[in-house]
Amino acid sequence: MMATMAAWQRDQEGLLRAARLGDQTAFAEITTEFGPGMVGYAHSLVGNHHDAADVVQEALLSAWRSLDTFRGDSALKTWLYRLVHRRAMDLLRRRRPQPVDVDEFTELTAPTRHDPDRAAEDSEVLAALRAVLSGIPEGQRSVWMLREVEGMSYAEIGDTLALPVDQVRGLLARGRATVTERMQAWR
Amino acid sequence: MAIDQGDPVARATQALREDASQEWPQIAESVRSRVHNMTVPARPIRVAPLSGQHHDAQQSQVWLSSRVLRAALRQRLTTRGTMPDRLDFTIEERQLTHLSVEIVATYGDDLREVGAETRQRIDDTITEFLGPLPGWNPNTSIRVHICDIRPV
Repeated sequence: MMATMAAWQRDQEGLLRAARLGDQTAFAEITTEFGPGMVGYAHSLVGNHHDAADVVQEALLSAWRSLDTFRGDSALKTWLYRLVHRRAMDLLRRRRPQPVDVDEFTELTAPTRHDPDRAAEDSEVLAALRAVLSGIPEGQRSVWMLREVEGMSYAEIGDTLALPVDQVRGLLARGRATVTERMQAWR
Repeated sequence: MAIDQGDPVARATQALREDASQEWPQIAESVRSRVHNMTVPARPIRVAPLSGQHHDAQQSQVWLSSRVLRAALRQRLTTRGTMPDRLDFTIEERQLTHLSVEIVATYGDDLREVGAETRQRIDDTITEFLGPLPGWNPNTSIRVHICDIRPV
């Protein structure tokens, strides 16, 4: 059946149409396109791999169940990320409040400039960024991730988080300033 | 996108993207498995017995899940030039009485031919899966709505 399909039937809209009618292969293609980014976004919100995996799985299963109600009023990507965001917030509400050490990132030792092992260094700088992100307010963190990692426009971010664009712009400016300042030690 | 290796935020952001990609395959497998096992709402449709009666000689009936029929129609209506967008069944007393389909066609095709071919494909599928249904008339029981035209 796949061999008889035209290109337009395999684009995002075509995959969505097929998935809406129960085509699991088409849904898998959609998840392959957006899944990795959704995992990264979920991880930044909930703080660990295990919970991020749970959040993304629940979001995608929810998407599969409600595809029939998605009529394209928003972009597929922002709809999926909105599902991730909601489930992550639900999970955080269920968790006991845990104090966040905003200076945690400073405990990581910045590598020397002549460290030959770039992979290890990237791993450390990644851990540092995660620590920095965990220490900034949730709104700034969400907006920063969607803009800097996912490359969404301000309008798409607003759609995903149900925020006006001006507020998105303000949160992003504050998030960028904080992240840049706290990552200075790694220069 | 080129990464400025001297910019720790850019390097860490890139590492963040790559880290998520590494986690994805295991999650994808779990999602695929759970989607496959998920029960999708479906309704039973009565299959016409060979004798024309509701029950066969053993007084049993055969039912077909609307999920099976939907999957078959989705596949058969997906051709080089058409793709189904929506399929709605009208089932009265467990018998399929009407079927409405929204179809995406291809720019330049004769839409009357598209409609006729779609109707024929549906009728062939219904007959194959459900047999000759009492009261079924492809001209009145099947509604074809071309909802979108896409470029080739």
